[in-house]
Amino acid sequence: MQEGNRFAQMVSFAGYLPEKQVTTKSFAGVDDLPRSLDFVRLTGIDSHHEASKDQGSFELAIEAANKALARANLDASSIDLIINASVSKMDKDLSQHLSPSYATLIANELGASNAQTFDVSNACASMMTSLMIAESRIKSGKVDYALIVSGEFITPIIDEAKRRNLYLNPRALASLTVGDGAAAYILGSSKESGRIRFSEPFTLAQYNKHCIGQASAKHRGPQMRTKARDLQNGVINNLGVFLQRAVEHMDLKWDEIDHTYSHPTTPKAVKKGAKIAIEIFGEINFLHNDSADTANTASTTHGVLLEKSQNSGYLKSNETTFMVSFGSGLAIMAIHFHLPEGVENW
Amino acid sequence: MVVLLSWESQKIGDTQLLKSTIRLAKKAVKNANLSLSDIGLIVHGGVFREHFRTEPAFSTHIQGGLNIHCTGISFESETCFSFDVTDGSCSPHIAFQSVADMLPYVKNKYALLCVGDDRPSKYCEWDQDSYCVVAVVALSGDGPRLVSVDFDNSNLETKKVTKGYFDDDIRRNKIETKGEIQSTKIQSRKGYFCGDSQWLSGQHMHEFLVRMDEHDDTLEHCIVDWSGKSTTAKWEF
Repeated sequence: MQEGNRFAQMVSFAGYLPEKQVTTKSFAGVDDLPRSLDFVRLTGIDSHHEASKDQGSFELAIEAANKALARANLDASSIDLIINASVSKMDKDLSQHLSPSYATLIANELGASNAQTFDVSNACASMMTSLMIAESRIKSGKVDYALIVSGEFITPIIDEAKRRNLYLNPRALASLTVGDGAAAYILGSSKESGRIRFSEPFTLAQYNKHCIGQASAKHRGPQMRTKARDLQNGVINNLGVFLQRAVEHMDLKWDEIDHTYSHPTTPKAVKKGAKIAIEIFGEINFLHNDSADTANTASTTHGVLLEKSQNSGYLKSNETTFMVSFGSGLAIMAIHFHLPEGVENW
Repeated sequence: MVVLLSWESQKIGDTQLLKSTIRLAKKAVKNANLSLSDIGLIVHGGVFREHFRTEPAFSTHIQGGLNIHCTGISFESETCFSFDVTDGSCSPHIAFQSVADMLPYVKNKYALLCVGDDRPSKYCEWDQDSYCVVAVVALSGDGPRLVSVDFDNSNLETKKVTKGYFDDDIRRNKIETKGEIQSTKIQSRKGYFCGDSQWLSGQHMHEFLVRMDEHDDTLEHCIVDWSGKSTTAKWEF
């Protein structure tokens, strides 16, 4: 197929959560937090998953990638492009991988010897940014199958936050809202247009200092500092116009969208966003606001939630999915796609 | 793929990347007869960031520093989108490819491509020369045209990796590179340039660009990463 009559489609996806589950109350009880905050009530997060001692971002990513490959019935050697979208790139010993790209190591582990590999970094929007790049490559005819994968080992920032006096460091509080997880998507070509559509991507850089992730200066592992309320206001204040521009740009009919997912900073924040959408467009057919037991798994959140929806039997072949992504920076973007054929049988 | 409308580059201090990028970006945009508001995409390629920062993307700080469409979304507002890519020293070529991939999705069809690295902290051993490169890139126009980027992983040694780690003895973060990094001979001949694999990504791009005027037909630019993987960009003039 030549460029112009070649399009992209979602061939498969997978989410992976490590077995260990940790309740929010076990580390963020009323006695641990300023002003006797009821953190569960404030955020809606009951628990999250944590990587085992043998798992870092890499091992988590491999789990999701292998599951996505199996569902697509593809051998890794068929993959032409692998993009790693992990923000953390944190090994199990808490060292941060820098070079070559993490995707190179993932490809090597999977046996994807024919794939070009690189990493995309755009905070929690890394996965959706990578999906856009992959779609473009497939449409151009340069790539037949692309694997976009991420493993996020980020719960060490909970330990870092707990080491701090949270009364004096309220910007570390958002660190208590995260969990570990992984996700992978496989895109392939299609003769049918419109199976994947993207919104205009925005970066509102006035918020680029509102969420900073980096190595902790005096302890092993990462830290995150967030002006959570200001950042959330940045999203909420722009969400209505963004959604209207996105729906028009993507030529969507709101009432025909079967499944809707938002980046779940917290379930409570998603509810706020949904209220804005409902006021503008009317009811949402199915809002999958189901992160109470996974928390915010950074770039992997949508994939993790899609996996939960699939496991619950909510997803059917060719139904449509609308996902909104936010990433610190502040990146705002959305994707609409048709679910893969046979998704209900995976 | 894309056309290089203008570029600026220079050697910089260990932690001068953001300041230098902003300064060079203003010059490059002016030299391309554009205004900053024409930029719809910013892609940064590099490996090392100050404080081992993981988020947000370095390019969001460039966008903020240049004040390009940073504020709220309205029905008429113009947009700019920023993100980073990395693949060791091959990052500049990945950045060019990503600009080509993403420009069709944004309204303003001019991109800033930025390449460079910062020393993560003063505790990191750093015998590298840091360079900052900024290019104004479009899908069409007058200038050198990037035709293709090919990759070769056949010499990849996956054990040759670079990591940031916490040194328990001094209780500070440092850089660790596993495997011996071998210097490779610079190859510069008619139609072909390949730098030293010890260089950082900014120097690879800088040394290529300063030689670009010597060629008037086609020029292949090969970057070999420390790990052995390589990319080759083919340019036409």
